Amino acid sequence: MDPRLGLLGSLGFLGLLGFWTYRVDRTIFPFVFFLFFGFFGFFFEGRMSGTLMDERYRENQLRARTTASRTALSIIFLAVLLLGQGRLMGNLEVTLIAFVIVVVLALALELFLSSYLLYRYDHDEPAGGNEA
Amino acid sequence: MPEFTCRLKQYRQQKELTQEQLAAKVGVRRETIMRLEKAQYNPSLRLAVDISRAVGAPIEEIFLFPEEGQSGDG
Repeated sequence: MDPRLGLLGSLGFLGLLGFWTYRVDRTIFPFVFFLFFGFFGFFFEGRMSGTLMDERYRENQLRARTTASRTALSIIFLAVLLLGQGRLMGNLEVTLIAFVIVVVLALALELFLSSYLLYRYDHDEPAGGNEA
Repeated sequence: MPEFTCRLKQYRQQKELTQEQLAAKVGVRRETIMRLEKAQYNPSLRLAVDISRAVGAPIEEIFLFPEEGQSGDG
């Protein structure tokens, strides 16, 4: 995979269109485009592609996915608790929009983090030099 | 961080193997061997056995774990 595919993450900015469409015809679907921010993870996935998936790689992958999922779930959990009351700015519609945005961003973060953390675990752990 | 001492480097050098060659023999990446030698990675039993066979030394001599507690045998 080409790391440049990570640029697809820029499509996430399309989500900002949601603010405009909501004002024009009350459409909130474009907020879902924030999900594309997760594609920034392709940059790290691309840099890791071609790597032999040995047991250490698989362990790191599992660790990265677990951490990413826990982070996203925690955010969604908090969002459900806080926004579930439906009273953000005293408006149910605004609450729904905020909820959609938070959930979509949390999912994007999960996508991104699972690739980013795998790369970090694999490269940033102290290792030392090449020895014959 | 695993709490053990690893003497893999010593046995690998005795066998005149490079990290790369040993990695290829046991089917892992060189970085994994590197971290193993620095006792920064706790291998699976499968990998430990493969490494032990590749360098021709018993597992317990390659990976030294400190004993926990005391043996009750009299």
